[in-house]
Amino acid sequence: MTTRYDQVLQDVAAEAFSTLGFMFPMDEGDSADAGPLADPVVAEVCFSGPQSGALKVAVEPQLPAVLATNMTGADDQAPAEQQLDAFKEMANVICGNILPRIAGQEAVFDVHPPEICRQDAPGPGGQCVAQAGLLLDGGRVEVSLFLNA
Amino acid sequence: MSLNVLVVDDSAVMRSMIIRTLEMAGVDIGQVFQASNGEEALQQLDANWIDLALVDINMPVMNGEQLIEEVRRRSAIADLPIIVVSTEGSQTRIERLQQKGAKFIHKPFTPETIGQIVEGVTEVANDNQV
Repeated sequence: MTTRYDQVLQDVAAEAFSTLGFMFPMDEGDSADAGPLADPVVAEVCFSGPQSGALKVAVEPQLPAVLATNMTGADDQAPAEQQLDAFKEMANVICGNILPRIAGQEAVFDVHPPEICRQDAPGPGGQCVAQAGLLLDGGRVEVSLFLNA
Repeated sequence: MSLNVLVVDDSAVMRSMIIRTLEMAGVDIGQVFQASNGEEALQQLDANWIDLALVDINMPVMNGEQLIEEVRRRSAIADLPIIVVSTEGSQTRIERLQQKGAKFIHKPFTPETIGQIVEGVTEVANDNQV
């Protein structure tokens, strides 16, 4: 049976969004009941090392703007490029923090630059070993971790 | 004493956030310089007096570890206090960076963490100059 890392991923994602993005969970409950995200913005971070795979983060379309404003402290809405930059950085931080939690502190990974994916792009290969849903004060988030065999 | 700070990260948003967090931590900042990779950082170091560098690891062109090695090779800036600010979770890699004389701050970070590390690094640097 494959080990599941749902709770670890939930904790890591919640900490990253609250500490880095000043966005806090509104409800500890499962946001899966709310159905699939409408028009999500999706970022993917691939990694290789003792285990290879990808982390996928999908958020509601308004969330990257809130995230960028919170991270930079700007008064005005950040331009689109900065919004995606902030979102990719968040995906990168979640990926960097989940890997030692599942593979140990000594494991050395190469984490590739995060990329924004098209909504209809095929998902990363491998087996989904963790999924987490967050309902934040800036919108909904879904995070999935895939490991290659 | 105000610190001239160089922030090196390929994410402009992360650079802004680090600068903002330094301010929130009460660090007395003089001039702020920015670079999006190690090569740009070396150009800034050649052109300006910089007291402290905060450096990401995973960057295009020249990564943070290569930058640290290059700084330590150049006698004029070899003693520059460097703090790595990264998502790196491998203790093996972190120890390797520490052996090159860098301190480490893990992302996500808080103003308290940044403030404490900066204070520690700059105190040591001041002591060494006395």
